Amino acid sequence: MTLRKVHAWTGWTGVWFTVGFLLACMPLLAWTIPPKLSPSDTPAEVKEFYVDHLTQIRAGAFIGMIASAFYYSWGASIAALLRRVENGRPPILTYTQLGAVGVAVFNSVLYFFWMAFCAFRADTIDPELLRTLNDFQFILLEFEVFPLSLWAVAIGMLILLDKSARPVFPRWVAWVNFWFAGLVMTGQFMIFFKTGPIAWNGLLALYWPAFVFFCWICVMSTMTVKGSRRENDAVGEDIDQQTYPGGLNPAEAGATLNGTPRVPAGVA
Amino acid sequence: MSLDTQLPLSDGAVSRTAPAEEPGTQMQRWAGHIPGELGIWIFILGDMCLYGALFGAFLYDRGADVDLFNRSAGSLHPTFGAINTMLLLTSSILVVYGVRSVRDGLSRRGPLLFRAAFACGLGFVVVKYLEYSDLLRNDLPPTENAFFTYYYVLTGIHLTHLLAGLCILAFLLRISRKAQIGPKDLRASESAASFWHVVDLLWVVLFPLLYLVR
Repeated sequence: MTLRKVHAWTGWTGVWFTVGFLLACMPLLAWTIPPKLSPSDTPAEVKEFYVDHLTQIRAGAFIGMIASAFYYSWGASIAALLRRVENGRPPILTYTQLGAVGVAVFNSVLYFFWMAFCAFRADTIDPELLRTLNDFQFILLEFEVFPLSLWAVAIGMLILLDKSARPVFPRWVAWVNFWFAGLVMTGQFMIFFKTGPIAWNGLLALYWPAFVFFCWICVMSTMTVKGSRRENDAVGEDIDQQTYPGGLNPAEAGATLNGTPRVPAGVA
Repeated sequence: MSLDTQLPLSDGAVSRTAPAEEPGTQMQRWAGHIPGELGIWIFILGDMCLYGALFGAFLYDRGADVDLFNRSAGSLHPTFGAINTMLLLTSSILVVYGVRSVRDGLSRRGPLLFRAAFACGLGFVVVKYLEYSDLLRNDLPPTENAFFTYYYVLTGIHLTHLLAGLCILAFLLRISRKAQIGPKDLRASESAASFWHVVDLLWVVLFPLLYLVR
């Protein structure tokens, strides 16, 4: 196992997250994409759905929670790769990304947490309360889009500002990020409507943002895998000593440097 | 594809006015040329997917209650829409000539054209404001019925694009005022102009769909 491989796998975690997330939400499990419920359902209908699907919803929440963990290694890998663009300067856009990763992971985790929470006592809870809890679940899923947009804008700007001979990502990837940033926002108005295309089961609040989101994840995952391989290849196995300011393990140093002890720059 | 053929044609037109340039070399230079950069076309086509989905959803829901949609569309004023169509078409032409001026290095004409295009865009916003306030005065908010939800959503998303487009026109104006125009500036101005044309194109589809289809 080399660091190069591990780094490439962090790129793939985006795909794992996507697959796990969709699997958890799809019919047979939680039924939230596409949703079996709608904002205009009566409390009794909501309760009936929950009682009839208790095990599936809990299984969905379980899988989704596992999948959510892969979200942050993915987000962190993009930020880490693009960190090079800001080398020698304050890493503001990198930190912006890391903040966004935190918010996004929290949102995904809370979403599945809430799913499990709704199902926990669904058989004995007051239907009116259950409907409210269920609304919360969907608002949680769809309302948090602008923080995601700003994340993608930070990524896109770094890609466009990358003037190096070996860019981390191709330029067109920046435009995929801007596309995602602009068009995922159609869900933001879902809090005003209970029917139609902007209600939480509508085209603009659910399906379109989900489509844009998963396109974005797939493109960025592929590019992150490629990018991390390229970056690691460029550095090579014989990593410059400056990357180990603490000094190399003597055994390792002996093994890789043909017995010639090399003192890390700045340490001697 | 049409993208590839578009520029050689438009450039052919330029070569009539551009001095001391052989038409053949221009054609060669633009053969297979995509206006702007590749990424902007990914962005634009992705954007069109949203509109494609929305138009589809609109027509699908309209099919469920044609009467309601026709009655509701009747309470819109096509005059507002028609004025806005004219404004956007005019601004698009101005931007086409503006980008040509940038390409030909006509440093005085470019800024003038982009300013005029910007004014047309602002005019669109003003007309839209008048139209929205007229509808709201007549008690027709987005929650009135399915048609008005679509009306506000479609025109609202378009208006957001247009406001982004105005920022982009300001960017174009800045490029056109530069003393030295490099290949990067030219590419950026083509990308920016392409976006503005999309704002125009979307409106040209929206206008008949919302105001005229019965």
